[in-house]
Amino acid sequence: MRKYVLKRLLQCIPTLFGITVISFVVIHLAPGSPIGMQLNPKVSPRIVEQMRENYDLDKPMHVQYVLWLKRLFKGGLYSFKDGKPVLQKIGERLPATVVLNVVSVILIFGFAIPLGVFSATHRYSLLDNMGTLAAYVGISIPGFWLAYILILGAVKMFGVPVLGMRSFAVAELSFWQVSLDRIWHLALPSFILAVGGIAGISRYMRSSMLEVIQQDYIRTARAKGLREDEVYYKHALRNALLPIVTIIGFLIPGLIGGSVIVETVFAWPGIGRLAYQSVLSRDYPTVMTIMTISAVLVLLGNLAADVLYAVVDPRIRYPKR
Amino acid sequence: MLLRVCGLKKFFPFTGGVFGKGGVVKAVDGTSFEIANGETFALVGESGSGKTTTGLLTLGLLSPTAGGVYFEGDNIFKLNASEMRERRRRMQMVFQDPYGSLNPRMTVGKMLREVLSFHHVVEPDFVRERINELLKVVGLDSSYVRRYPHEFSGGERQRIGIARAISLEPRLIVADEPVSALDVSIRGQILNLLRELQEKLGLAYLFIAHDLAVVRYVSRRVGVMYLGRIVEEADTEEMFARPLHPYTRALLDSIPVPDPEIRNKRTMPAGEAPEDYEECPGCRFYSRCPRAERKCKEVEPELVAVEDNHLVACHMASN
Repeated sequence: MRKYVLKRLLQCIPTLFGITVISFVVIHLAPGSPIGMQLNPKVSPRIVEQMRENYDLDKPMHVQYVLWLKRLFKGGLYSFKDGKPVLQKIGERLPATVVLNVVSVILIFGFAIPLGVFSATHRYSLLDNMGTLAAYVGISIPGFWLAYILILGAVKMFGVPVLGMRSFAVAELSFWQVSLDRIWHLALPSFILAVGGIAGISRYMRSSMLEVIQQDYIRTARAKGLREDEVYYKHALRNALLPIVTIIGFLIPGLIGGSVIVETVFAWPGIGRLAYQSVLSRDYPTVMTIMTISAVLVLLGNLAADVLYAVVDPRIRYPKR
Repeated sequence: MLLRVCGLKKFFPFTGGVFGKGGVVKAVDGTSFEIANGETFALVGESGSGKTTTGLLTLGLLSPTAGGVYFEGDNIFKLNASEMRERRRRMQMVFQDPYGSLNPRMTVGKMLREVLSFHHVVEPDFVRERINELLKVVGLDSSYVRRYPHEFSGGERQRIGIARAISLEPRLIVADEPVSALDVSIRGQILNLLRELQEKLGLAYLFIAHDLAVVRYVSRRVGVMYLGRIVEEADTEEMFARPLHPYTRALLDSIPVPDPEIRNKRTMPAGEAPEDYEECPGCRFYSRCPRAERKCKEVEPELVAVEDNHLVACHMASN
């Protein structure tokens, strides 16, 4: 197993290299330059030239790439926008993104698994059909649109704060009021982030459960005389969860990479919003670093999914030596 | 009588797609038989004759359209959940497919422990001992408890299935084609094991099979099923010596004889069991029967005793 993981990790390196090269080219080919975004158009060409030199933008692209790669490993990547170290900027945003995504993952699994199991055990009932409809709506509805609708609703009907991570001037409030304020700020974005996942994974869970319920060993469990709930939750659910658990691996990238859309709509100070703002200002070092981190996470997530598969299913053992 | 099955019927409705009309499949259509303590009763027939459905109904794993199953005198379909659970201990099943019928994520030990502790068969302290004993009885090593089903061969898996079935000390075991998924070389071993266990534990079997050679080896009494109904029932030796129903004869003739000199006289009528037999009122074997007469087309024959312990549903059998 250890050898397998090691091999997979080594295989990730060329993939990662390819990803960074392509992203680097794409972001540099995008119209507009970091300098044009920052400066008044009337600034003299000499200053512009000076800045291009400072940012190494006058060098050929492959040289720029190598320089970027060197700085990524040695440190020394600074944002074009405010001159802060890129890693520091990302580090400042990380906690907000992690909190948001952990909550949404909890929401996803907390709702999707019971919903899917219920749908499967009550197949073709009214509630199951309604669940199917709701799932299609949930998958196809655009997140940003639903977000604005919910913001309108929450503000108009309940008058609760929804944008950002906290209200201003909460310092004087009691601990409970502060907590409540935080929860309100967290509720909508994490829900929006979870909607698609809940809809998709509950369908996945339903079909997985239905498939398991038809298996012969479920009939065996019934013939043993076990109670129906034991048949479902002990024999069927454990087998049906197998493909679901591995999905956690695919959720890891979002967990730290953040969501550009949700964080932007809710003014959530996370990495997703940072990425968005950096793209707008052509802040190449920041964009590239976030991109690289996301790519690493996606690759690790895939690996985690495969490893989890082996952990939960005794039949799967990767070659030992 | 340990088990009495009376007029059991199970119809499966089907829908005919968008334009077709729906209907019912009469999987079991009025089956009756009895099994005494420690006896083996075999049900034979082609695929689709309703054998397996009868087996599932007998254990209450399906609910019937009509009829009753009387186990130790009580109709199991009239029992409530807890009474049924208590009966379950004494009626168990060995399944046909030794691969699909074991939960792939449970070790052998876990599987047996679950049954033993769920039904409180033995005190918790003795569970481990009892598991080892069970494995020994079915001829497996007690070191196998930590293994998962995929680590075993088909024969071993079937032994595990048998160990699970006898772990509750049942009085009746429904064995649904327990050897048909196995290699011929393993079949004998499993059949011997089933016979041994019967003698040791006084089990009764409802043995479902399509292989007449197997049936002859294990059972004392045989019922031949055709399209959901028993068409002939007799003691095994009697049945093999003097089959009365034309369908039974055809089945017996189809057993291969290990002698190349003997030409196989194939009397099995061509084709398969008709699916629309219910449209004619007569004998369900009419369309394939070599001896059919007019009466057979019009009146369905009843299952009647033509001799002691030999029942047959055929107008032609008594003359």
